Amino acid sequence: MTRLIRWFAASLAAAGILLLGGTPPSAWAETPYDTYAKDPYGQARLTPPAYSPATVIGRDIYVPDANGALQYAPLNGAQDLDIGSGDRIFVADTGNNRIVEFDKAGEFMRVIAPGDDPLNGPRGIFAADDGSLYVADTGNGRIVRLGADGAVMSSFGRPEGSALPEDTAFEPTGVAVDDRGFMYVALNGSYQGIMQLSPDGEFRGFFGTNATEADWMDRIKRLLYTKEQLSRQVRLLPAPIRSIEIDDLGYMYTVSGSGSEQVKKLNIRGENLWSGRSFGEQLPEGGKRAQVQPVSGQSGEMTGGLLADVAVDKAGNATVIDKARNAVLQYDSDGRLLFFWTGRVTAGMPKVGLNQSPIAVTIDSAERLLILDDALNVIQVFEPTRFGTAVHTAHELTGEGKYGESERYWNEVVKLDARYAPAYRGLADAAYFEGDYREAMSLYRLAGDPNGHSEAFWQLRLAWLQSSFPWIANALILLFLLFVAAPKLRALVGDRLQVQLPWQFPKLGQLLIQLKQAFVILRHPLEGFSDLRYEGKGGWLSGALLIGAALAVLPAETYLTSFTFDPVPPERRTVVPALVLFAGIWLSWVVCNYLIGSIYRGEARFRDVFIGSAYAMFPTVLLGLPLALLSNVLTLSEASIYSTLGGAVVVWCGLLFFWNIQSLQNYSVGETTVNIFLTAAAMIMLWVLLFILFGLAADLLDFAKTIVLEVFL
Amino acid sequence: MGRIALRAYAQRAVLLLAGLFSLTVLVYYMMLEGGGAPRESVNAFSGAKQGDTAKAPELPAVTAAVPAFPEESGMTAAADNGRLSLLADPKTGHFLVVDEWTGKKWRSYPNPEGWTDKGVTAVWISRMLSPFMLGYVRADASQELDQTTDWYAENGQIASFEKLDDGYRVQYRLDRFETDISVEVRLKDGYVETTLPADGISGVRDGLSLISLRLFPFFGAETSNKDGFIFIPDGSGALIDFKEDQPSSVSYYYERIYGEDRAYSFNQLSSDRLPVRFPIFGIGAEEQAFLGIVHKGAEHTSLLAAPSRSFNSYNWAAPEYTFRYKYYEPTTTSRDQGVFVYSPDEIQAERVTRYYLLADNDPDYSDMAAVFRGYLERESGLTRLSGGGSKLPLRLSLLGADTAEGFLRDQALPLTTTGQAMDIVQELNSLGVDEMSIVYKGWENDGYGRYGASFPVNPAIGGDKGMERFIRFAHGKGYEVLLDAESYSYNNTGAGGFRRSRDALRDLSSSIIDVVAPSGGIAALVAPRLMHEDIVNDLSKAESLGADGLLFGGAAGSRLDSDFNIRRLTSREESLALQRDTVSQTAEALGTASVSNGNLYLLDLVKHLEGLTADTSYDMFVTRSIPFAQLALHGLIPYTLEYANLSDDYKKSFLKGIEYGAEPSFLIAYASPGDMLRTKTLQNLYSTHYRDWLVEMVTMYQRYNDAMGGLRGSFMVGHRQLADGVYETSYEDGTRIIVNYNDAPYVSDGRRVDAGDFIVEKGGKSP
Repeated sequence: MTRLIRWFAASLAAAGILLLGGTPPSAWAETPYDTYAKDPYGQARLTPPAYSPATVIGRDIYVPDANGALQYAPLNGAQDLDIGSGDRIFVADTGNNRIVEFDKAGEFMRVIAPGDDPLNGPRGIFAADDGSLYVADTGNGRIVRLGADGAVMSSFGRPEGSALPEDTAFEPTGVAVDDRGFMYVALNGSYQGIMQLSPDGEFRGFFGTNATEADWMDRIKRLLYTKEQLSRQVRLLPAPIRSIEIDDLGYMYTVSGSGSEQVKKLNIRGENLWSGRSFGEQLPEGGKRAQVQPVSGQSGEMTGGLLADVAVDKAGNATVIDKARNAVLQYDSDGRLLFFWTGRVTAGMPKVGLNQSPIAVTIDSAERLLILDDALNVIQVFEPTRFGTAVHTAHELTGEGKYGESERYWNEVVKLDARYAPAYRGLADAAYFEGDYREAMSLYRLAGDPNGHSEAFWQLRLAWLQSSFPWIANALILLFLLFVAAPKLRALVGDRLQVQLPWQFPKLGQLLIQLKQAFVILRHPLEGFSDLRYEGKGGWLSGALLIGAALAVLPAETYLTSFTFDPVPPERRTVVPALVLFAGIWLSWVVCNYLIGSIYRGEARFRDVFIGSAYAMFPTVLLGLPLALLSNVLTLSEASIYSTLGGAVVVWCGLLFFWNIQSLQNYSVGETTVNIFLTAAAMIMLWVLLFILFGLAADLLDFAKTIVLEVFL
Repeated sequence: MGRIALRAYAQRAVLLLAGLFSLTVLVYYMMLEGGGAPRESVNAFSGAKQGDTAKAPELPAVTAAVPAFPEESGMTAAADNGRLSLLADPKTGHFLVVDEWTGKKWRSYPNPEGWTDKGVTAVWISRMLSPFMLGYVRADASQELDQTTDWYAENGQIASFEKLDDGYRVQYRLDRFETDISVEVRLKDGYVETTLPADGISGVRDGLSLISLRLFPFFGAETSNKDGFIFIPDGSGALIDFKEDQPSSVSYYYERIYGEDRAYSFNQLSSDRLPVRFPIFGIGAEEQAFLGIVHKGAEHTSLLAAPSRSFNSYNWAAPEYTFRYKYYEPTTTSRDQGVFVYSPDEIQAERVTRYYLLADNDPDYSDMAAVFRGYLERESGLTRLSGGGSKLPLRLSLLGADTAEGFLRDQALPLTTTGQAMDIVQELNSLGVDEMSIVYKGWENDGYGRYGASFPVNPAIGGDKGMERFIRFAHGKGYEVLLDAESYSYNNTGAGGFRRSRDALRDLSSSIIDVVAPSGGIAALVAPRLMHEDIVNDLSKAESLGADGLLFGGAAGSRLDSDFNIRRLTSREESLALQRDTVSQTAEALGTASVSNGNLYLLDLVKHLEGLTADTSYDMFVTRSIPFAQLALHGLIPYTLEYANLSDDYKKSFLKGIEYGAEPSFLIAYASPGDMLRTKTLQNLYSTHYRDWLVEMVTMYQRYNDAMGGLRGSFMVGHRQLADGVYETSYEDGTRIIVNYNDAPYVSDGRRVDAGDFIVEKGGKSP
């Protein structure tokens, strides 16, 4: 199989794949990055940009030197920034041991570097509402509180009695302060979580610790290893917290390097409101503009992501930056992905809007994103676009339950991007709220939301039932009467009917008897199957017809099943591959079963196995279509009925296969079981063999082609 | 055969199956270990070929001469035309042009005022003062590393210096390579022209495989201790303002004119900048400026522009003449391993660059654009548009059909049938849109994303009959209908008898070049000669439908590629000639040709330009984007910017169109958004449902006509920024249009422009 893939990839490469940009009808995009959202099926889809680059801050920092002359003094490896009152921007300029302040427009205001008590590599900063600045003075192992004038107000070093182990240094890399003045400190390399300090710097505990991630190998070791062996293993520690943030409501957000729950939203008790969620997306290759894909054989894999920081806006939307893959991701207040954007960065060619190494992000009061880049040493500012604002507003209103108001905004979103699926969900919610269930149903379908579709359908069904109740009641009474009178009717009509049926044509009659046998099998499987052979109640043609029917039912089923139970858009339900696969598996089962039967004391001929297996598929023919039709009148609340029925069909087929083998090969139950296992093994062998042969044949063909080319060119 | 015998056979069959299985697993395992991987692992730059044991011959050591500024007093007068005078330095071949009226000087070497040795390496001092820089590889060495050198570093000499009627000719000699480079400099009316003749490089070329040459690269170069700008043709035009202090990460601009040649693109990263459409560049500082135009040989030239502090303390911009291209030579059949080498043959072409000099009235970019306009009028034969009072038409592009994934197989998905197109036009008419020009895209037989088939028109949208009917309907209203011809550039279906192995574009190592087509899928590039044939052959069919012309783009007008397909060898210049021929034949047969993202060489043949971008490539060193192309072209040829409904902010793009003097342009379809979700290929098109944009189309049409109706034949003479986010465009008849992008109104001099709006002050002077 790998060979096959390699061959395919090689032939693509042989054709020379270098993907250069053509000119799409929309020509150049107006941002240097591509913005994506996930469609309901998990695929990344291009969307118009949610944010566009506004400006770059930090290119014109001139500081007077000792003589008063202005010296160019750009940022140097700055690691954090924060927004203070009046939208002033404060940057922890780590490499220059200072704090730099910019005003709202991005103009450089001043440098804060307390001369008497200098900072040393400060990596974190928090601007409190009262104008004071809390700085995580990493190199000096302390938190420093600076006043509005830049002088040191207080300094908090390693707290006494903390649960920090002796050998772990107190190196704060980030700090956040709540409105009571309690400080939450992220420590360099600490696995114990965030340290909580009182306003006086006393230790109050750890907070929001990450869970240790053990893979299954570690768990096995834990079970099996002795204490001594375990002590020599490398200790599994939880991922340290890289960055913390507090929002207006007091929720705390942490970013860590763990495998899941990379971003946590913690309440005052330390509970993660976003538990179980995973952040950081698989980024797609390609995009709108000239993106190059490497020739196969070279590494095209994506490097691991490195989430560096999070910023939360007034509505609770969290923006996360990925340093390693230069991506910005935005999630709503429930932790669901809204958009993400990324662009190809070329080292040495800095572009406005593309970060080479985004290390910190924050949001100002105008909802602009400010991203600090420690490689380019600038702050890139992004403004929400019309599209981004519309999505945010619509989302907020829907979240607050104001469906009617949200409709206008969702309509604008759809106008700007007709493919944005969450907009259809929003509009569907609004339609549902207004009672337009039919419209809601079709909108939920566009949005790919089976739950909503089911709910809307439930409402429609209820309304229909309520309005048609008299008709339904009458129909039920009629049916009941018919049922009671049925035997009498049959007696009356039966003989005459029978005369008129075309059983006078022997061949056709024979076929019909054989087909009728399928029903008999349903009631009396063991006898029914033996009768296939010994009473001639089964033939090649009837078998072929039955399996043909089963194959025909499959696409019909897929097509007819309601969206509620099969939430894939009709254009994605490709049937031909499924059909081919199904037919292939059935055929290989038949062949292998015969072969195994022949060496395992079976008595069946190939013809018997073929016909028997065809008859065993009858429940799918009988019940498949009705089930699909039934799904159109059921809602998800009756999902258990649907799945039970579906499961029953599968189980029934399975049992029929079992009895088929048992009766036709004349086995006991145990022998039948063994036969089945052996058949499965044989099938696997057969398929592997086929793949290998296919791959080898392809190689041979390729080889022959090369020879021919060599000889004739 | 008895049942028992059959059973026996069956038993043997099972045993055989098992045996075969184990055997193949064994064989496969052995093969895998033996290596499907190639035996030789050759990385890109090792260049070591098997059996290559020859050592590179030792080249004689070079002692550099001492680089120095030419002395103005030692220069001889070479030409004089009454306004400008040309002085040449026989010792270095450098020249100086003086404007006798204003006293301004332009030098072929950096401005000595502002020169400092501080922070510049000796290597760069040598380069800055040399008359040329060259890039080469050692032709005989096993190491294919490109090197850069210059005249001083090679201890170059002047072999001969002779005066001509209007200039001089100097022959440089490089002893190390035993090569002579002959250069001519001539003074003409308003400009100085440097020529490197096609046979200008002569001599043995011992050990020299020439890659590139930059002639007088520091012409007009200035330091940043003054105000000034570099002009680059990025997007519609961009300025790099002089800045003393730059962050250490500042980079520079380097792009090939007319876009990269995809025949050299295999396994190479493509540039992510916008392609250069016009071979122009310039520098302005201290009340003087120059505009450089690569007049000949532009298709084999790249433009380099470097702000101060990227290489040295000067801001400079220069063309780089290419002699050899780098391409990827694979060393395995799967083409995943190989080396980068340079093409064996040197490109022989005449290279002429003109430097137009401006010194009147503190010239800025608007004046430079006026100079470019004059050049276009003289050299490309463009003339002022007639019909001064006529209305601006709405440029409507309609999407025909695409494919949708069907239940069993793919089916055609009509997005705008010809009948529906008529409805759309009717509706727009009834809302007041009187003038239109229509382009039909996705009309091809297989729909938009399946390239290769062209005529007959896709039956799903009405077929040939339907299209004919629609065109007649449009003609009845006086509108022209063009068909999109960009699809001829690609082929991914094999339709039309196209065979990849025979008809696709190939590079020097015979790799077939596949690209990402506009639909988003992969398609082979059709060989330029074949594409030319296809289009020309189809002209009669288009004529029979009544089409008024074709819209070119892609490889047919917007990109320029060579082809090394043995059956259809085409050089880049031949490709250019083929494109021109295609367009001119189209214009002759049908009446109109239009091009989207078109290059300079098609300007004289097309009646309309589409997709002139208002963006830049987002480089951090670019300080402003300017409508340079629009300043030069307005009044000569009508143009549109990008489709308003597909822009990222349609209100902003509305204002941009006003500021840049463009016509309103939309790409729409009749199909509802729900239907659009089913398309297989149109992933980039966010919003094309015509009902969503009716209001905007009508508004844009009306407001654009109110503002600019009557300016059709008027030249755009000025453009400037009044305040942050507020720009003013002025026309030769005195009309001024002020656009305000801010969220707050702009008030000044008694004028008020509302937020996100514009005002028009009509002029009255006749052009």
